[in-house]
Amino acid sequence: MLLTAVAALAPAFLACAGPGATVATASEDDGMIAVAAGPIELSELPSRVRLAPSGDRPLAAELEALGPDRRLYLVLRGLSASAPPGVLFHLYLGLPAGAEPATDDPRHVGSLNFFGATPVDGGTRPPGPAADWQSFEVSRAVRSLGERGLIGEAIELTIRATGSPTEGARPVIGRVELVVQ
Amino acid sequence: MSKLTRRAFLGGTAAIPLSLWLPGCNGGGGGNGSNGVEGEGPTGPTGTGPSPGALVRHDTRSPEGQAMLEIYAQAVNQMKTAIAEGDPLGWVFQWYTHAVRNDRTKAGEIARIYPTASPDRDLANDMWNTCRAHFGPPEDDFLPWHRMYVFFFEQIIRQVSGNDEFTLPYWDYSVADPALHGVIPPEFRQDGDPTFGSLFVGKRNSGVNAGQAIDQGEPGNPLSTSALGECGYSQQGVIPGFNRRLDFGLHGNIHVLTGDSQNMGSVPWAAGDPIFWMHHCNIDRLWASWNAAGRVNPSTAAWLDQEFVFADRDGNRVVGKTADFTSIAPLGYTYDRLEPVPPCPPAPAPMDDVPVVVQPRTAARAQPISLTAGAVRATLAPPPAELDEQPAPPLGDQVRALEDKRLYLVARGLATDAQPGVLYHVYLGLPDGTNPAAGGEHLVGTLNFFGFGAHGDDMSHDAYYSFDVTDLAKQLEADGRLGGSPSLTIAPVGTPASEAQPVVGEVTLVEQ
Repeated sequence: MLLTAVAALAPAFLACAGPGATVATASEDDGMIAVAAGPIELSELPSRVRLAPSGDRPLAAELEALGPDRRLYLVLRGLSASAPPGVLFHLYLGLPAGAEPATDDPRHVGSLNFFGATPVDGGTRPPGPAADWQSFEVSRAVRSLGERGLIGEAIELTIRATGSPTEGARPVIGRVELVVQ
Repeated sequence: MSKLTRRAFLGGTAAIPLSLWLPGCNGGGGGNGSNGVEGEGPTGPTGTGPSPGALVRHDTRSPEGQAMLEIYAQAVNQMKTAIAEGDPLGWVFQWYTHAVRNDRTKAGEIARIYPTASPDRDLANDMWNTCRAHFGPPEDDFLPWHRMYVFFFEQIIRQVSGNDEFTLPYWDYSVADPALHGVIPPEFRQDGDPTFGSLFVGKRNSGVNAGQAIDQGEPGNPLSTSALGECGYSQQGVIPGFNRRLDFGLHGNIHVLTGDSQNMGSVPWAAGDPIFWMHHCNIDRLWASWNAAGRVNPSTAAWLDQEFVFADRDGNRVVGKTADFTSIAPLGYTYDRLEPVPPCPPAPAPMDDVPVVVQPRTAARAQPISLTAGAVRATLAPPPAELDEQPAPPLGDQVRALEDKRLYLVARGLATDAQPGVLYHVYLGLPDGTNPAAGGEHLVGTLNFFGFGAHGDDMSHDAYYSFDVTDLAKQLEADGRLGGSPSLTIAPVGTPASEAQPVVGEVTLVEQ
């Protein structure tokens, strides 16, 4: 049974953007539920990053409030390096400090490379879009951690290089976000 | 090699548009079937039939692919040793089209190689350092630019080798067979070999030239083709889409795992390694696989009208337009095998296929909601009663009386002139003045316009989204916040493409 219809949309709708508008235009922050401000300089040692909730609620509560069909993305912004690091960096969510994950560890959520994230043309031109942001869908991994009670106030991201980055490469991630879409 | 003397330079700004160039692009060839491959189609599960006379690109591990590698090796040797580096058919010229080596600059190399003005110098100026998207956004140009690059390079190998039926073989590093997975083909590992020595490069990563898998010891599966599971080509919010995920994922991983910072692992050096072309042939195959499964490329003029300069097999300047490279069939080649592509979540179903009851009188009252770069608010007002009907009870009464029934918010009649490139969040009962980003408890779902056509298309009228809003409506009613005419807010996630003009034709609340 039809309960309600939009009877007069044309006169009723209004665009909320514009000077003085209290409803903000959507921005890249929309959907962000946790964040770690950088910069995060990567090395041959594991880097541990705490993704703290961006709102008032603990991350576990934020996740619990999401519908089951929402997709979660780990977003790495502002990549830079002086030279190609020459290795991949593997991303793990919820890995305990000091843990040595197996190659098939289910907490592995992606592999980050810096190809295209370094300056070109003799170092005179900035890198391309690869340096802007890269994202990895982590819905399943996060929900699995949540179901096992392994997410509380925040969630830990561990970044592990396979081998040693090229000396002087100085790979850096500017900021990490957990985003809902 | 006698064909090299046929090269006729075109000066200055002269160029051959692809539409004029294609009919003669295969030289005397174009595929007459003498290599026994004419007419073969992809054998993969998602393959589509090839165009008549299409030449087949083979796996490097197949007998046909190995035969092609022998031709390739001889041509690469010629390009490296017998053709001047400033010649458009030379190895350095082709390498620098992707990017000039990073211990030098484009300006410096042009001054060194071309001390005086010449058509080739002009062409180098236009071609070198043009890899997309390293040398300029948008990122969506990654796949078409590299398809053109590989296409024209293949033509040049035909010219240099004198074999008009040469096709570039692809390196399928993702193959599951552990003996082949991630292993660079043996033809590229034979230092000093009289036949294949030109394909050897010493600056590959440790173990690669010994036949070790490039991802040995790496966790996860960095050689996974999981990007094929992306349902859209372009990014939407932080969803990368096929092009971006393939570029920054598998594509970049192969570069980094294969070579060091003066080889495949660095943009400016990468195309100096002959394996580069087999890698990008495979990337092109994955794009063809994705399209063969029905996935759709962008339709915006901004993407389709992009033009890039290359050299054809005669060294002539030719302009490739993305619109001419969105499908491989018109280009005269196909692949011996395409990859399977995971299915996408079902698109919004036609009205007849889902059990949602919408009273016919609703459709006649549809009013479009034009979405903008900001949040748009509308009011869900009670439907006016027909003359012979009683007015509907207040919305709150109906929500309280739902019992075991569910309440759905249904958005129909989606249409757009072009893909907005973003998702839209839909909120119910969001208080006026509230930033949607802070209105998570009012969020009922996400719209996208993938699969929806332009205004007036039939498709735009028989598919819809439906969101179960039962719990939210009950909560709003219990809190006294539902009212008789709750608000609807639709907000983009990011900045929509200005030419998109997306519209939601009608939104209704439906009990079922």
